[in-house]
Amino acid sequence: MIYNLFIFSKDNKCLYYYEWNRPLKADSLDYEKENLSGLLIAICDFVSKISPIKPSFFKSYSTSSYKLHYYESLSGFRMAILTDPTTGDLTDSLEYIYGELFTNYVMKNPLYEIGQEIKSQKFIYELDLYISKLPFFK
Amino acid sequence: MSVSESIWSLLLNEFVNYVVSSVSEPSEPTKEENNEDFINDPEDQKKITKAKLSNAGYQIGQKLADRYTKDRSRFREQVDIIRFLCKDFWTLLFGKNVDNLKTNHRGMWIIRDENFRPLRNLSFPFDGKNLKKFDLNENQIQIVQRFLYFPCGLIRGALSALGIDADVDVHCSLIPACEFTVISKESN
Amino acid sequence: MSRSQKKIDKINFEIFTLTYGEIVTTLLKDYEDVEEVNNQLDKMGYSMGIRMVDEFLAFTGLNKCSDFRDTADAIANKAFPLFLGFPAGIQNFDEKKKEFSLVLDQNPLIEFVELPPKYKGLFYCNILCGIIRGSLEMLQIDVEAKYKKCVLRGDERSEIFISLKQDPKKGDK
Repeated sequence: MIYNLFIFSKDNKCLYYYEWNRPLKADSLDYEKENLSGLLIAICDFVSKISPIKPSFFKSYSTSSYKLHYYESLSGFRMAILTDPTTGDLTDSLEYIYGELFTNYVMKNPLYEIGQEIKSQKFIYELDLYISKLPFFK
Repeated sequence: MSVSESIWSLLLNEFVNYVVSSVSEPSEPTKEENNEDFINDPEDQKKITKAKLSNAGYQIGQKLADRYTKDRSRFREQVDIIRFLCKDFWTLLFGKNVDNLKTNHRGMWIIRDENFRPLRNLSFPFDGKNLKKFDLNENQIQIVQRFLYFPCGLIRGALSALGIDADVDVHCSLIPACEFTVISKESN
Repeated sequence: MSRSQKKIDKINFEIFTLTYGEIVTTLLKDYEDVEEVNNQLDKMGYSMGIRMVDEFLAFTGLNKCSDFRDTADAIANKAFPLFLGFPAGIQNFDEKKKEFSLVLDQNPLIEFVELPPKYKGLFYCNILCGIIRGSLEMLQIDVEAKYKKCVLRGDERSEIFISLKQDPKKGDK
């Protein structure tokens, strides 16, 4: 089951947020948007530093009730998807969202201003369509 | 040799942005004789934007059509020219054939492309209503037009090189589909 | 993070070359000062460059460049062939000063182009400098990219000089 998704810029700004299933609503979504990005950067840094085998990069963390999958590009695009803990590796999906959807419908959209919140209807539509068709969506 | 379609597409978008902003706010005085032409009226601005982009497309459309038909004998019938435009030329420039062609057999053709490549990455901010509806409002239609003047010119230039002198207009109310209307100047 | 997109649409280089030629022609009509045309081309290139990186990263699946030499290699041997259809050459690579020259031997942009003497100050392909600058900036690599030589101006070859402006923030040494 896929709960929700965050996209952050390299300056920790939340560019996009969407929730498909979120039984426990956020106390403050703004708090989450402002703090999750910084936390993830700290995790990436720490995780790579203590790695017993280099090189190493952060992929996901699991709790008793959810799993957060992380993806980051060299260009500063960063994304976190929260799913139920049984969901496996999402690398392929994350790469698709970045390489096809974000690249084509955000970065190559002449009407999108770089660094701003993502509101492009095509992106939102295609992302929703893609996610809701994933086998582990529900 | 090939280049990526994306670099051409990005280049064209930059060109559109340049023409639009240079027409509406010329910065420092450029050439002496242009000072008195400073255009304030948005309708005039639109005409000049259209003319600049369309003419650039025209030049290129002509040259390309010339190059790609120099090995063939001259097209004899208009129907052959239109077929070349809708299949070969369209594929060369836009990666596919047109989806629909209508004609009144008296010099007017309506060409429809359901997934026009220059419009594929274009998208407006979601207004919060129906995610599946991509219909454009008046204002958005005007904005999309800017990206279609150049392709119109390409078509007009190609047709001219092949022997059809025509006016080409385009309408788009639901991206990425659009419809080109070609009216031969000889028709009544 | 290494799977890549399967394919990238291509078009014939002539279409690109002719379009670019029209754009330069338009700019030359609009601006008296050739230096201003150079600036506009650089600006356009910058705006293109920042939008091109993600496609490049997604397609090549490239990881962090471990040093500036890798960066140079990525530009010359991966990005140029991908977007422009030909590789560039790297010369005079200076590891200490963090600078190098990009040599363009088969640049299709300048095919059939002749520069009248009054446009001697024009760097016809200056858009490439902007593209390089913009795309590297998105990767936290601040460079200055300037044309040093251009065959259209009578030089023996076309060369873009690239130098790192400051210490990179991450990845490169």
